[in-house]
Amino acid sequence: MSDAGPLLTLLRRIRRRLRLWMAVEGAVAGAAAGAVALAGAVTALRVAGHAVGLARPLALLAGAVAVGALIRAARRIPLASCARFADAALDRQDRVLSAFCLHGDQSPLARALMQDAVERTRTLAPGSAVAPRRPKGLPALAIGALVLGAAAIVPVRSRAARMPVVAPPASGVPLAVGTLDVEREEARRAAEAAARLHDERLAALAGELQRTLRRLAAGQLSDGDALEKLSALQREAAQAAAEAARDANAFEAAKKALEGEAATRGAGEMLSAEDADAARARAALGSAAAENPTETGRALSAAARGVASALGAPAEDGDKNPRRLQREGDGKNGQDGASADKPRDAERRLERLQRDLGDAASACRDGDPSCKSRAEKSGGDLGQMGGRGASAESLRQLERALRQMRDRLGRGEMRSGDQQAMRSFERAARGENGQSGQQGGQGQQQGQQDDGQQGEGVGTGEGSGQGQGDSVAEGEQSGGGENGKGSDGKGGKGSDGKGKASGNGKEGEGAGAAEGIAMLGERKTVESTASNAPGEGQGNGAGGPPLGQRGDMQTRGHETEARVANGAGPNRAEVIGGAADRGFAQHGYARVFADYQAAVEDALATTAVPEGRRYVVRRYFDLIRPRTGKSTGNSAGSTGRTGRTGGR
Amino acid sequence: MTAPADRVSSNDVATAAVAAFRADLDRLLAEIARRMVGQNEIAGSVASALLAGGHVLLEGVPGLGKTLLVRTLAETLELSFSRIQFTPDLMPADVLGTNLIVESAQPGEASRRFEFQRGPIFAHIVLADEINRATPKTQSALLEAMQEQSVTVGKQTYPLPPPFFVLATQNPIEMEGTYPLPEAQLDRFTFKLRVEPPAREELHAILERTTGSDEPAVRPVLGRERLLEMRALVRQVPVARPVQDYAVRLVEATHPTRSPVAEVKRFVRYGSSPRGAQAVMLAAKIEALRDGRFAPSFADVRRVALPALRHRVLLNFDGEAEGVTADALVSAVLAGLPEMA
Repeated sequence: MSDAGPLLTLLRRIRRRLRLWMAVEGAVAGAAAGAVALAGAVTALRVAGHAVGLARPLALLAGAVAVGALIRAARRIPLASCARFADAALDRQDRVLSAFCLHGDQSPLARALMQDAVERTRTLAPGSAVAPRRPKGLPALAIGALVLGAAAIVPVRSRAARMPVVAPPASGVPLAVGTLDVEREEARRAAEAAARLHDERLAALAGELQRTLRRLAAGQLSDGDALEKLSALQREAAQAAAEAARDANAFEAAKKALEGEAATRGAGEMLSAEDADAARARAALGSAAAENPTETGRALSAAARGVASALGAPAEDGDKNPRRLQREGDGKNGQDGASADKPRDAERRLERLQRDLGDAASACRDGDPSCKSRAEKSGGDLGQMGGRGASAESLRQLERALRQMRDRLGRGEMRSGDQQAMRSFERAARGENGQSGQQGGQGQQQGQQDDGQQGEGVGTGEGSGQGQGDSVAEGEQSGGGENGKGSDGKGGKGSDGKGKASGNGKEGEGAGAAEGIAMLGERKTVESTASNAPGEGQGNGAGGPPLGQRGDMQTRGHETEARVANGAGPNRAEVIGGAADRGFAQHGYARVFADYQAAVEDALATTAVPEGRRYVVRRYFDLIRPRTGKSTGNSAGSTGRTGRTGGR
Repeated sequence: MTAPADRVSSNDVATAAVAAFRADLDRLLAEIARRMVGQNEIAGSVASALLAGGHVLLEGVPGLGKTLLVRTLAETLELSFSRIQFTPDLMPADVLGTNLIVESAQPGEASRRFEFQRGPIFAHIVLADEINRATPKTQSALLEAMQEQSVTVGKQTYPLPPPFFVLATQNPIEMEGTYPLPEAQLDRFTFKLRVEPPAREELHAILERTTGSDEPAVRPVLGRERLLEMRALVRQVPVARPVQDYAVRLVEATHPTRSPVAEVKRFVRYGSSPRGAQAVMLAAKIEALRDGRFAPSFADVRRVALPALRHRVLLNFDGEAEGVTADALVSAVLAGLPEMA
């Protein structure tokens, strides 16, 4: 037996022990994997309604254990690895490994090495070299066992036993009684105005609003659907209001033109009368044309120009094409569908009226027999246009009411109306708030606003409220804004208190004084004054948009938020190297570098610079030299780096 | 085949040789420690490089005892010693020697002839003090001497007396008036050792030892012949293949193209040369002998890797811009490389 005999014997024993432990670890891993797979199979079988026995899963588990143990135990374990275990058990100086690797070496030191290793391992037992340890896969085995247990124990409803679950129909929640009273009143007013003015569009809007309110109050409409519906109605109302305003402007212009001529002054006054209708205007203008066609022709011509000015185009007949072109351009710019067609209809109607007025004027000037009939037709058309224009204010009010209702619904105030009312009542009782048009007294506001050129307007209106319970009742409120002014608004009326509040704010935010008087039951009158506090509630007049009108900003600059990831920017080397790679080495940087390097070399050549400094400067320029590619190290540098290869 | 009795005898001889090596080395280090306070690690590494047949570059700020260490080492060895103070105006001829015109006293001969005047490099131990204060041209004058153990002047080559051992000291490159050593020159040093400032207690001991009236004297403990024997023994130490493979993979891992370490790929321009692997292996053998073992271990390789490789790893632009050090990269390689492939 050679000198290495005892050492090799020991290493083989260590290898056997290692194999045993690897088999144990393999069994644990196999058991874990088998448990997880078995859990899946058990779950699938139970869901399918099959019975799961005990013997077959246990057999499968045992098979997984055996396979895992065999796979791990069959792995090759080199004796050098066993020598590492022996060295770890000794002093970690790799004596056994060296001796094992050099056991064929017959040099004196190698033999001494072998002798030393054999002597040191003489007392080493394989068990101490490969100490018992916890298998690595135990946590996985525990998890697998838990999963398997859960799959076997947790009750699973089989597919056949499952019942289809029918989702309940989605519906809204009915609103409290009185929550929509304000809106109902607005709808009623709009319907009345539509009947009075014979405005079908206003009538349709009012009817649709009433239907929506009914469904919302009954809980047949969710808040989201109601918001969408209200939004559509508001858009339609706003559009109709704009058209009606244009009709009103055109009507006013035509009426003034008719009043400017003696022959047609009667017809103009007829149109101005509140009870004027299309038939009477038609008759009046027809008689004027019959009596004095020339003046009637001038008046009709002036009326045509007035209508044209309301349209925003010259009145001459030959200037129709630019308007058509403009409309076609508008259509191309995204106005599509029915919503885009309605303004066109209104414009076409005005254009047609303008054209008819012009034709009638020409006929009257020329002494054409059709002068009278044309004048009568124009009078009838003007009367109808006046009727449409008269509904502008009603449409605006409806649009405003729709917007407020959307806001309330969007803020959820309709769902918390009782709490709001209670809070408002408490404020009124303390005299803090003279009137809360919307929250406390549930008042309703009406107002008018004339849009000025810069978006300013003056609104007036009255509001009446219905107090709920013992809440506040009477109040006045005025508010002022920079971009919109409201005044003389009156809030709700009630029984037990009255209050007055005035606010003057800038860009929609009220700040002013409020004083109120409230009485409740047996309490005495309480008077309070608050200054520099924002007015609560809402006024009658439009205060302007809270953030001001578009274009009010003092700057036309754009605010852009730059987003960067914290701490994720490039480091210094990446910045410098990236800039170099991106191209300054190819263009500007190479040229600038050459200039600077030449200047520095000149300076070094003509100036008394210590050698050390001279070397540092040159080394610096070598470091920052333009690089053509990744293999920068191969370029001919001025330092000794390139001499390295030759020196080896 | 060797008989068992011969084997036992041979084993005893080897064991005795290793024991003697260890004892002599300990004696040498103990003698150095009589004068030097602290710096035991540095002294041991210098002795290792001496026994490996290499050279050492000591780096540190002035006043840390670099020169004193070299002088002490020279005094403890019965070897010739010369010191060269490197300055910016030092020329290669000042180091190597030069041909001088001499008058002949013999009648009938040419009256004048050239004669080579040997420079200070012709000594067993050469202290190249503050080597980085000389220009690279003068620094490179040592190239042939350190690698070939000879000096060529003109057409004549002059061998240097063995053992030839260069101990160079240098100040950190950041200091003014210094030139970095050329890479070819750096590669010829077995170790680059960083001399750190002494600890507080060591500083106390330094003051007590150097500010008194008695300066500790050292005596020679090793002669030239014994030193050469020890060098020969180092060369006989066998190395297990896995350990050698570890050293090879270690050196290989310093190359950016073949390294498994991400930092090396990113920050290194050139890795260690084969000289680095030689230095690691020889130093690991000496470490084993110092410990009384017959073969180096993985731990020996790891222990000597840093001083043997730190000056052989050249950083690229990214590495220099990021302030990465070669020490950190070698440490990363050591941390990321498994001992057994």
